[in-house]
Amino acid sequence: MYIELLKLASPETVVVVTALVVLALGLANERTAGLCSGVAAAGLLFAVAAVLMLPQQATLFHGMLVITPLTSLFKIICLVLAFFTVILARADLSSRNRGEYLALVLLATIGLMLLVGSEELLMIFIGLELTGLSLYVMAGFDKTDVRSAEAGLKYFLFGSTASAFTLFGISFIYGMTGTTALAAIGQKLTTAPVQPLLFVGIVMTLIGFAFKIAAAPFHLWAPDTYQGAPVPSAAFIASGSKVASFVVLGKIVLVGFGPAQGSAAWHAMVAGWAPVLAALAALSILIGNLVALAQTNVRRLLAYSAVAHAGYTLLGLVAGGREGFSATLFYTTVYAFTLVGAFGVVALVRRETGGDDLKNFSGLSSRSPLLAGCMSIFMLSLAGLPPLAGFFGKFYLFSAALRAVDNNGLLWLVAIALFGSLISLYYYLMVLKVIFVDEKSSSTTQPLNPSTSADFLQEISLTVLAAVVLFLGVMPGTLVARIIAAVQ
Amino acid sequence: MIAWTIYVTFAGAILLLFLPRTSARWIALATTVAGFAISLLALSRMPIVDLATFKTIVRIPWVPMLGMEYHLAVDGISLTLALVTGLTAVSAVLFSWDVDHRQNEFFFWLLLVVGGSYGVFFSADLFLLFVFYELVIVPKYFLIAIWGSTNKEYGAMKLTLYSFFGGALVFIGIIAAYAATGSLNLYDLAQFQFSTQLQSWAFPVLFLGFAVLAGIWPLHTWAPTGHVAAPTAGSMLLAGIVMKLGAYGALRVAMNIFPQGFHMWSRYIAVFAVIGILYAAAVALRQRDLKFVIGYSSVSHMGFVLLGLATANALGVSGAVLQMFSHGVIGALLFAIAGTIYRRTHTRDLDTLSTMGLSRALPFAAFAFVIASAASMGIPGFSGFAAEITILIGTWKSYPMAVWITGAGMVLVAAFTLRALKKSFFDTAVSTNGGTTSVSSNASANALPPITIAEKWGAGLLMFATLAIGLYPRLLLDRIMPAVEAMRFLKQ
Amino acid sequence: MSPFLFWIFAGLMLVFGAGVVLNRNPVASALSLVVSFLGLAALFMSLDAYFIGIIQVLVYAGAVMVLFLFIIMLLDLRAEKLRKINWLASAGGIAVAVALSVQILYVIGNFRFSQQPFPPLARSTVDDVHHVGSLLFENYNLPFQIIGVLVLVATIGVVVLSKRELR
Repeated sequence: MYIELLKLASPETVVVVTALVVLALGLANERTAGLCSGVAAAGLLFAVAAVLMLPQQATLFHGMLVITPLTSLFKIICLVLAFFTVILARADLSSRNRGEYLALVLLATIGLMLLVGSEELLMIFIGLELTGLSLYVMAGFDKTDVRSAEAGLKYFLFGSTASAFTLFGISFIYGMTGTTALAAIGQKLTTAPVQPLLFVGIVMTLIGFAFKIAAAPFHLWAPDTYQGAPVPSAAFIASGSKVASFVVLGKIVLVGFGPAQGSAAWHAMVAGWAPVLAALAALSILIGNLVALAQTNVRRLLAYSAVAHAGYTLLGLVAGGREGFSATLFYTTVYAFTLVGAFGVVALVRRETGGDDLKNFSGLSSRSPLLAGCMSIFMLSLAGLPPLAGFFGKFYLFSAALRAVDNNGLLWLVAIALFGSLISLYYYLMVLKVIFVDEKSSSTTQPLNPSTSADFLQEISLTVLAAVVLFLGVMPGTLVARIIAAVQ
Repeated sequence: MIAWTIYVTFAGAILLLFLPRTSARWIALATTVAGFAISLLALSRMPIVDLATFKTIVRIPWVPMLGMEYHLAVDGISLTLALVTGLTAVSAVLFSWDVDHRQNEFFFWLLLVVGGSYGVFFSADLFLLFVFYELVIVPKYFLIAIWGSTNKEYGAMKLTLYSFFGGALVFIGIIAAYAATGSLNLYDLAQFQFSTQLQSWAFPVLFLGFAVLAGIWPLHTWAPTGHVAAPTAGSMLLAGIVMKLGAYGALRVAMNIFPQGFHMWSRYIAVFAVIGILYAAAVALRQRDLKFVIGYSSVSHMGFVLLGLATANALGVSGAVLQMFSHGVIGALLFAIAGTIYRRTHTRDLDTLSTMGLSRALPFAAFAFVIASAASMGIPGFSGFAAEITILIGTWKSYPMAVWITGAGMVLVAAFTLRALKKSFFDTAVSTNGGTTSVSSNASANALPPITIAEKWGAGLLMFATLAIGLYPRLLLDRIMPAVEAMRFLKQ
Repeated sequence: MSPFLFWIFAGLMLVFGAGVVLNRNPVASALSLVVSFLGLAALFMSLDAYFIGIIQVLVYAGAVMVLFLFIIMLLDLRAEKLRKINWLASAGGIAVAVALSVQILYVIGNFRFSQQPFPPLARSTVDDVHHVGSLLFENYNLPFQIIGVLVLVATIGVVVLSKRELR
């Protein structure tokens, strides 16, 4: 059985070993920072290869480790996101403690992979904690910056409270059903009537995930964390953690709590988790977009837009079913890649001008057309304009939501989401306006850093990300086909 | 073959990003001319019978899981609009020959607008159509916000948000239709019997979404501010192409797939259209800025398009399509002349212009403006007349009252056009107006740089088009009518 | 165990748990925590979970708390000064907490246990430690190992965050 475990958990094993090697390298010598990044990146690529070699279907320990095309696909996506984070980290942090930082990124990635690859509440909780703990430390990693400490502390306080709620909820569910395996819970719920106490457990479990995906009203940590944390940490929190959370949230509600879905249709609300998620979605879309209008810092703006996007993404889960889940998965993947790219641009601008306020971006198009072009692709994709991936994602999500419930019952939610996108276009365009229309302000005329190799590497990776976003917009079928095939 | 208009235009846009700026305007010109030539060729080559129905030219599965296709088709209506797109695009490039600031970018955005518009006119898949439709939004923002003039950032943002608002409504309409049928093929959707209840709410949503871009009253306010803020080429594209996108969408999508909903709402559309015609004409009469006058005249002319659509008979709708062509040409010409004046005098204030005696300083511009004004007023012999008379005959069958009211509106149109014409070019009150001003204005008028060759070609092309269609409207009407008759919303 | 004892221990836990937060003196806080842990251990034992109860006493109330006290002593922490309390915020917080508890209590109060019996715990013939051990190395092997990774993360985090930066 142990051999079996080692075989099925080989990607995780590869990442753990890489993390240990990176840690040791970092301790050995101060000057090995570059090597550490290289090893970490190579380890992640190895892990991707290991995922590809996994069998099609396998289950271990009653669903603690599940391997399906879906989990494999999202393990790869998480690994790729971690890969870009490692590249981002090359330029952003000073070489001090590089080994520890990269090790934390890798360990957080393991947490994500476990979250994605498990259908068992206990395991999911441990995955959440592993990810969470690594990310708390990553958020507070920059000790020369008070903001970073603030970010880490806020993230930690909100995160641990949310974890407590989730654990409490899970205990209720275990108490009511006598099992922690999602499939078994689903079966129990179909046979027995759903008790009110179970709803308490379900709602409490959802709270923890609402925190992870930064859905309002559990988003309060997001602005400060996105703004204060080191850029790669913020990028990873916003991308990898979010993708994995949506995958597992989808599995929990659709597989585990499926029978307790209820309905969020306008005139036919039925109690269940769907109305809860619908309320979260509506609130997130409105709050996120409206507050984002007032932001002058790009990272804060991205944080509030992240809240809004969490709302859009929840639409697919509210719709439920295979199509809704696929739409959610597609959207969150696209969003994660877009956001890593956007944070990459922010990191480079920050290095060049020393800040990430909107005014630091003014005149970027004349300073660096490539960065400006990439940023416009990312922003317009977030705004949902064709031919970028965000547009297709929104179309897919909204049409899935409208199709799921008879008689266009979710039209109210779709209308709110469209209204939110209308608002969001304004602030995304403001960013682009600063980049393309405004001339470079005189206050930021510092000498530009000479281009280094890390810079070059980052620009390549940003171009790749922009190309991915464009490609997924023009040919969305490639990813959608995989996701639909994977979601049974 | 006609599909190449899209590919050529986008290829030109991408080429612009990678080539040095010295060649930018030539690439842009070559691209737009190629697009125009292809549509002309299609006009001469394609048999009229083939243009009677929306005929598939390219059909490739795109996202098969969700039923999306890369599906292009053409009929007389699309071809007419492709022609006006090509025409306007060529002259817009000619009229921006002197853009120096970030030239490559300018032509890049311009070509994106043109290419997206071609795409909309040929799309036979609802999703594809919407992709092209939304693709046009952002380039407009940059064209105006970077190269515009008066209050440009405000105008650009207003225009963009209005467009996107319209887009959001369209989006709801599209996914409602998609949710009901599971298909995005315009041809299939046009055969599908939607429930009356769905049609009654989905049609107005969809129609209004498109009509925002067509400048329907009371959601027209983006048009004047946007036109004023835009650079010359930007205004030309807005008037010549972008407003047509809205009207075309309303016709091809909203009316064609929800005919019952259309019949329920058509008389309200007619009311809005008539109000729009009168209101915009009245407002134009009071404007001091030449571009505001033209901007409101655009809204007024687009009111005729909507009125024609609302008649729901073959004549009225065909007239509306012809009016789209006609207004595209005339509106672009008017804005082009306004732009050339502004470039030389740095003012668009009618009172200031009237002291300059421009007819002597810029005779060619004066000539072109007379032609454009005549066409705009609907003098026989120009395309405006052919289009508006067709619309009014069509309207007579459906809403006789509207014809009487609109007749009064046409007087207003003539009034403000003549006022603008007189004030900008032919005001002779100047000479008697005291020595100092006339001397200085004469001095400045004499120093004005002459009209360039590029501008003469651009204006000449548009003037030729309006005259040609004015004298021989059957060239287009023969192709439009059968295509309109093939649609199913017509009232017998 | 009789319900009477349950209420006593649960009450003890809550009171001393609140004491951890409310005490201004770190030593008093730490000692309150010990009592709270002891109450928890008693509750575990009342559920026949002797092993976990004893571990609770040994590890938490014993080892961890001694470490806490050591640290407090080494760092020479003083009693925290009384800060101004934001009454509005605390009132809001208390209101939300009370509302939530009332809601949950109401739901639990309406829950009829007779309809859905809890699944009976399997009586094992082997002793607790043996049972826990075999579970950890068989069914719960993966989580067990992941906890190891989790501890590694915690260690790295503590070292990185508390290390003094050399300038």
